[in-house]
Amino acid sequence: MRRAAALPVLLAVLVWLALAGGRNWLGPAALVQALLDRQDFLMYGLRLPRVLIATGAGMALGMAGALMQGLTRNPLATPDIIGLTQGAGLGFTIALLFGLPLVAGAACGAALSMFAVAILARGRGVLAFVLFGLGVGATAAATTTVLLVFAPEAKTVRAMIWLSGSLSNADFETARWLWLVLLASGGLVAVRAHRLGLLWLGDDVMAALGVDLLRMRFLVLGLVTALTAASTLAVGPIGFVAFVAAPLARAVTGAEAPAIWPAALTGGCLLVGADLMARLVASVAVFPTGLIMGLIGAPYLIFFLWRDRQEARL
Amino acid sequence: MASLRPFLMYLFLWSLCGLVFLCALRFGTAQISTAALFHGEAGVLSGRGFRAVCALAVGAALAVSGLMLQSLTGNPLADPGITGINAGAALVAVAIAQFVPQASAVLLMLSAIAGAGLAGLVLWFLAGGAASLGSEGIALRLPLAGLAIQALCLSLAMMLILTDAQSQARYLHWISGAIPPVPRGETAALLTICGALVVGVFLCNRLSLLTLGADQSRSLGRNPRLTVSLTLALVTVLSGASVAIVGPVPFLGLLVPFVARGLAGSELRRAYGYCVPLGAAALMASDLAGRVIVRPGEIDAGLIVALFGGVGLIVVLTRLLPRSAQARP
Repeated sequence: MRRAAALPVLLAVLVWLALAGGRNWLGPAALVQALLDRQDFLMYGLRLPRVLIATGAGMALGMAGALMQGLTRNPLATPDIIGLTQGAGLGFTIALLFGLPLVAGAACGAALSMFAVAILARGRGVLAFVLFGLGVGATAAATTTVLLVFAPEAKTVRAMIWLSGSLSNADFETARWLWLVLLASGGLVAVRAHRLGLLWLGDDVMAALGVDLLRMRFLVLGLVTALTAASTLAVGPIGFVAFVAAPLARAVTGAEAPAIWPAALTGGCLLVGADLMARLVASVAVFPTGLIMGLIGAPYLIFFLWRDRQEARL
Repeated sequence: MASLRPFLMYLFLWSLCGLVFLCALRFGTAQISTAALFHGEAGVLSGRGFRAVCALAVGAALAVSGLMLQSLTGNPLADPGITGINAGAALVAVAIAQFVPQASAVLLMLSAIAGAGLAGLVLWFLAGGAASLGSEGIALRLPLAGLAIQALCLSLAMMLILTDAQSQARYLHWISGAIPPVPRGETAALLTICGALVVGVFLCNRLSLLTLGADQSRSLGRNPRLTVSLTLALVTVLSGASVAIVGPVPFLGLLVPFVARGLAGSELRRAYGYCVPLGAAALMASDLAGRVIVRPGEIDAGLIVALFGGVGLIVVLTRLLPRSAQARP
């Protein structure tokens, strides 16, 4: 039980650090004072929305990753690796160019790429899910970049910053959307928690226990799409959070396999931490948080493959 | 008649390549007539010629290095972009350019080759080798290990580029695969590519012997280890030199060999012969499209290639992973 408490405490500490830290550090007293004063620009204009978005997006991605890994029983099948984030990015860019609602764009993009991957990979085994995801993701990412060239200058700048996974222009409007989706999905997960816990046991066990498999799949895929779209809308296509969160959460807390809540908390910790690091590393330049996540996530993927190989050798 | 078909195919592919080359000279960012191109502004013609030559060499180099890597690993997904070899080359080249400001073009190329080699070693360690994993294991692990290497190297390279204004101007386009508009000492890299392409022809027979099996190769007097090292060295040199010129171009080494092997059948040397003009034409056409579509702006050739490459990867995968009979409805 003590280990389970570690994550919320860590998240709270990181949030506190992120609120206090930056180019000029606030002491505890100054921090409370700034939080109480609604006119404080540094707090209410810059840091609070940024931290809210980082926490929300991290939690959404962590949750989506854990759900997806549970559904496919494949630790590699997370929304960032199978191309959902890139699809949401493409939808966002198209919506931005044609002046459509950005929320709808990101959601449609994520849903379409999920659909495409599911159709392409159907009946080809679990490996295919990941490999086709890589292909779909690469196509979506390239299309996004090419589309941006056609865009007017002002929109391009905004989209470029967003695409590299930067939180530098966070606002309360986006934060509200993100938290709305996160809370709704969280509620749904909480209601269905018992059944979602069965995901890792396999289709046969679930069918034997009387779970409607088709409905279950639709529920999980829908949740993953919504969570991915919301987080991508807020922070851009940041990779690896969803992929790293669940295994890390299990390692820290020792929880059982799906570990949806610990994964969400870990995702929050990761993104808030990465954002804080991005602000500290280059306080002058606009430094994308996505790059920091790449530096954390890619070594983990390498470690994962290395360990997998050691196991295969035995 | 049987021997005529490959000859006609060579003829067709090389004339395609020549046609694209002429188009690359004729069309470009500035819209000028043919007469003006030859008489008026000489700078335009030589500038375009330089770009076309760069694209030609790099396209051929990437296609051939993809073909060799695929024959060696027996995995049609192996390409210097997907496997992260290009990204490793890019990272080391950017790092050297940053920390050794006086570095010459030759040094940069050598460091790119070293980076490609390092990334290749890491890849071999992560994904290659173990026979117990079977071909399915390799098919999955190779692109994943590549993804990891690529994400790590490109994140680090972007970090280096973004924190320094001077390298931002020089490398921000390069990292997404742009053919250089003005010469900056690419001659050494171009010559290296030409040399390596010639050497590669002589390697084909050894390599196709190895694909029959290590025992077969040994019994015919070819040391399989030597073949593997020579092939890897060739792939490394080709990828490193092409990254030094245009940056990490993704997917070209996947698509072109896929088409070339489809045309050539099982014969490696013929596939090699098809790869060279096909790869050159593909990259020149991408560069041309990037210049023409958004006048007066430009889309980096690497982005155009990536656009088709992602779709190509999906097509290759549908061939590679057959749908099982008992597919769930």
